[in-house]
Amino acid sequence: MQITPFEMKKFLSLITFVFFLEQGNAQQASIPPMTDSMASTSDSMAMPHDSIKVKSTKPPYEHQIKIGMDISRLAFNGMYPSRQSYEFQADYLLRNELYVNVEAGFGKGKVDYSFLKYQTNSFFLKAGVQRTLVSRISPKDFDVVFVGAGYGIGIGKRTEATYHVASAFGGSSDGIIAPQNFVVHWGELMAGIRVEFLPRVFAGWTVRGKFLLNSGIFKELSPNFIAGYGKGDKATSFDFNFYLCYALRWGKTE
Amino acid sequence: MAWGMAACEPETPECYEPDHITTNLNFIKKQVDTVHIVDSTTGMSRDSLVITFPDTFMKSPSAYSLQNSNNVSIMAQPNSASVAVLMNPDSNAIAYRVQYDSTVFEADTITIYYKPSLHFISNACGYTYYYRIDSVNGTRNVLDSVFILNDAVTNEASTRHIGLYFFQ
Repeated sequence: MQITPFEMKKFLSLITFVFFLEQGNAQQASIPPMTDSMASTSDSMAMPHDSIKVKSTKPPYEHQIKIGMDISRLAFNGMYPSRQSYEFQADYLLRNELYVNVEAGFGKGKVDYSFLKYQTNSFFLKAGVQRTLVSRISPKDFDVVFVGAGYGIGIGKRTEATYHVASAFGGSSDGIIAPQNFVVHWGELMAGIRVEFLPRVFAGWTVRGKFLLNSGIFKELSPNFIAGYGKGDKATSFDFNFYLCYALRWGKTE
Repeated sequence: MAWGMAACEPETPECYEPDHITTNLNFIKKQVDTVHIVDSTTGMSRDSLVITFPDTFMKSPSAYSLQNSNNVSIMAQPNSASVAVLMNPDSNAIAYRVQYDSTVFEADTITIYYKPSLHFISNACGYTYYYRIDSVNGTRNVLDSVFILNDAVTNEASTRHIGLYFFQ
């Protein structure tokens, strides 16, 4: 089979056309899609004295605040009469699956042993964030499994303390420790769950480890109980809470 | 009481930290050994005396406080290298008759001078007294000398506080 010069020229022209066609497609594919900013830039180049602002709209969102009470405190108050406290919490769900959490409460402690006697009164505030571990299956799903971290401050007062130290030699010494006002700070790491078992009604627990940041303030006597923290003579504390919460919601889901 | 639940808090809490603070009197015997050394290159030999002060285990040591009243008697475990004695927080000095073997009446009197200081242990244990030893002296019936090894008497039970040195 012989190829004439005309056919050869026609074939090369076809190859050249296909090559340039492919080059053109490749260049078009490498151009990023035009964005709002580029569009506004080209517009502003065309009309230098006008500016176009593109306002992004947030998707519909149902806001939620949960308000709850730690009902496990009621049981603890019964089991440990020397440590009485009441604790409350509220949290707000942000769009990025983070909860902002605040807690508050108050309580009192009482030491009434033969060798030591005093009382404490205190209240606390806590703030923290909680990260959800499981994605919501729908905008109506508010069940949550979380880990979080927070900060707590406790303010209180210890009454005058009386002590008694027995001696093996028959004597004993009794004394008085002056009252003390105190402010303690601590950090917390926590994990827990909340389940909506009735419409807008949640139950769930939180476990937490607490780390006292200024335990050195108790030089003479560490209080047996600081509301929100626990035993004042321990630099670390572990706690369990069981909350019953009610959710307030507003906004649209769609 | 909430929900009729029984309180599970004891009236007197368990104290898991030592609240009886003791001062350890350690028996230390001077030990002299002769070491025969031969130089490997010259072949010459010489004798050297090596003196060590190891803790010495006594057969049945005991201590008896010598106060005006309310004295305490302390018996250490047989074959102990120390005896732990109590201090009196109502006083700044205390004397003990220390017997190294309770079956043989050979004893010395040790007098310890100290300052007590109130120390908070915990809410479950309450307060106790720590001590700072100022000085110590003793008779020389069996004893050669007595020294303060560590002047801080706290709830560290293993600390050696006072050394009783024997030369025989």
